Amino acid sequence: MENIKRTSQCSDRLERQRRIEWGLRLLQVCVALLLLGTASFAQQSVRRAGEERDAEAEERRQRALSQLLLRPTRNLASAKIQDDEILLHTGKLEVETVDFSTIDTLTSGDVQIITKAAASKLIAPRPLVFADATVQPSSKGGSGRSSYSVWLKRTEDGWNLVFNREADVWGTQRDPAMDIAETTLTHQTVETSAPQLKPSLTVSDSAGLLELHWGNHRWSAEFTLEGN
Amino acid sequence: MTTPSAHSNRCSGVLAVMAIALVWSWPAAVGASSSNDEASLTYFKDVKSILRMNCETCHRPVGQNQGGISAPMSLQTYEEVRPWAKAIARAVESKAMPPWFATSHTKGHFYGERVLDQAQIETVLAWVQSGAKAGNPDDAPELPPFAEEASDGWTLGKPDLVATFDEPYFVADDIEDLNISFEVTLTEEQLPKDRWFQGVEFRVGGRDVHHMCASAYAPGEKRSFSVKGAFASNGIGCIALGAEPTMLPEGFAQLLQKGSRISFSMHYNKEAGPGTGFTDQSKLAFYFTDAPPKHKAVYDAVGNTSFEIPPQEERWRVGAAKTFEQDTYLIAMWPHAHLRAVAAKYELFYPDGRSELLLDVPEYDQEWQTTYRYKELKLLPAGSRIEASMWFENTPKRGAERGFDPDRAIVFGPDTRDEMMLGFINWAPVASHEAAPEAAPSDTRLD
Repeated sequence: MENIKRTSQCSDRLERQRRIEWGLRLLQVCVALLLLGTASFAQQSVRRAGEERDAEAEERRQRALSQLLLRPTRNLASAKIQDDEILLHTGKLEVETVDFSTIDTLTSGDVQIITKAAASKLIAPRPLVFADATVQPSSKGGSGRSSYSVWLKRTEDGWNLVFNREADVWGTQRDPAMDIAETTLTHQTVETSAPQLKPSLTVSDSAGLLELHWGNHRWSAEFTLEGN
Repeated sequence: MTTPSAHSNRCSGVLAVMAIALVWSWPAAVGASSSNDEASLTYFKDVKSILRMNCETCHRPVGQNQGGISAPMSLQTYEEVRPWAKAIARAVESKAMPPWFATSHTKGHFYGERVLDQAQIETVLAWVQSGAKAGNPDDAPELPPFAEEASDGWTLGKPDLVATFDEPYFVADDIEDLNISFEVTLTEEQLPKDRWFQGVEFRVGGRDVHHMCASAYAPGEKRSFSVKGAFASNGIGCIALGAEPTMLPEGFAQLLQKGSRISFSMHYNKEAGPGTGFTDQSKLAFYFTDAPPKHKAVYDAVGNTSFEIPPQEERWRVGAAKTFEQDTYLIAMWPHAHLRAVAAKYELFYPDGRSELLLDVPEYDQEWQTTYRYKELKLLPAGSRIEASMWFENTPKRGAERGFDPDRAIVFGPDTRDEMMLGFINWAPVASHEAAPEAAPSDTRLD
C-alpha cells in the first residue's frame, strides 16, 4: 500500500514536471513568436519609414518642380524621351534688355553674358549626345540626373553652346574652368520674333531638338540621350 | 532628425566639455614664464575693458544676440569670467573668439568688427598666465553702460514705435519647423503721420525663433515677393542667429507710411515634443528721424531662388547679381542661407572693368549671421554690378553635423532644411530723394 502510494506520488510529480516542461516550452514558443513578430514589425516599420521618406523626397521633388514651373521669372521647356525627362529653363529676358543688344556685338570666342537673370539651365537624367560632343554628368552626386548652365558662344563661322558644370550661377558668372563640353548650334534668322528668350525642347522617336529663340535669332541642336 | 536647436544644445554640451578639458590640459608652459609686468595684470585694470568692448555685447543675459541665444554664458563680472579664464585664453589665442567671419582683407571696413588686436590678445593671455587675478575694482576704467540698460532692453535705445502681432502666438509642442506670417495694420494712434525711420531693432520672443523678417506695405499696396518673384523695397529687415540691429547713417532713412501694414515673417525651429511649445510675440522697434533724410534707403536682396543643389555635392555654387542703374551708396551686406551653406562672397564689378572683393566669408555659419555694415559707405558708380555667391555642401558628413538628409536634391524654400541664397543689401541712391523721388527702383529682380 505504501509502495502504491509512493508510486502514485512519484507519477504525480513526474506529471507535474512534464506539465511544467510543456509550460516552459509553450512559453519559449510564445517568446520566440513575440520576438519574431517584433522583428517583423520593426522591419515593416523601417521599410514603411523608408517608403515614407522616399515618398516625401518625391513629393519634395514634385513640389520643387512645380515651384520651378510657377517661377514667375523663368521660362521653362520640358520634354520626355521615353521615361526620361529633360528640362531647360531661361530667364524671362525681353528683347529690349541690354543683354539682347549685346548679341550683335560678340566676336569669335566671346560667350554671351546675361546681367538680368541666372544662367540658362539644362537638366538631364543621362549624358546628352550631340553630333560633335557628349555631355557627361556634371555631378558626382547620386540623384541620377545632371544639371548644367548653358551659354551661347560666338565662333568664327557661327555659334556654339557651352555646357558648364556650375548650373546655378548668374548669367555673369561663368567660370571657364568649369566648362565641360561644347557643341555646334544651327543658327537661323527667323521672321517671327520672340519678345522674350524662349527655350524649347521637342522630341521625335528617341531624338530631341533643343532650341533657343530670342528676337529674330533661333539657335538649335539635335541630341539623344546616351543609351537610347 | 537633429534640428538646429538640438545641434545648438549638442554644441553647448561639447563646448562645455571642451572648456573643462582645456582648463585641465592647459600647458604648464603657459603659466611658467610670467614676468613682473604679467604678474601685475588684473581683471579690473587690464582685462575688463577688453571683455566689455569685445565679448560682453553677446556674453550677457540680454544682448544684441536675441537675449543671449548665441552666447552660452555671461562674462560681465569677475566671478563669471574667472571659471572660464583658461578657455577664454585659448579661444582668443586661436581667434575662434570673438567671432568674425570676414577675411582680413576687409579689416577696418565694417562697424562692430569683432577682432582683437595682437596687444589685446597678449594682454588676455598674460593675465591668464599670471593667475587671472581680480585686482582692485577701483582700477576698472569707467565704461559706458550698454544702451539697453536704460531702455527696457532695447540695444538702440528707447524706440519711437514698437509693432508686434495682434495676439501672442503659441508654437505648439508638435511643431518642429514652421514658417508663418502675421500682418498688423498700424493704427492712427501708433503712427498718426508718415515717418522716416533710421533704425530698426527686432526682439524675438524665444530662442526657438530661427529668424524673423518684416516688411511694410502702404495702404492698398499688394505683397510683391510672392507675386512677382521680386524682393521689393518694402523690406524693413531681418534678424537671425548672430545678427545685430540696424541703424542707418545720418541722412539715410526708410519711409513708413501712415496706415501701413507690417508683415512679420516668422520662422520657428525647435525639437518637437511634450513641453517644447512656447508663446511668441516678437517685436519690432522703429527709431524715427525728425529731419527728412537726404537719401531714401532700400533693403533688398541679391538672390537666386531657382537653384537646385544635387545630392551628395561637396561644393555647389549658387550665384546672383544686381546692376545699379544710378550712382549708389552701398550701406551694408547680410548673406543669408541655411544649414548647407559653407561660404559666401560679394564682389563688385565697376563699369570700367575693375573689380573689387567686397566681402569674403570662407566659413559661413548659419548660427552667426553677421551684418557687415560699412563705416565709410561704398560708392557704386552707375552701371556697377554686385555679384553674390554662396557655396553649399550637401554631404553625409555635414548632414550628420547639421541634421539634414544629403540624399535629397535641395531647392529654395522657407524650411530650415530647404535652402536660401539671399545676399541682402542696404543701399541708397546718391541722388537726393527729394531731387529725384523716383530714383529708387521699386523692386529688385530675383531669379
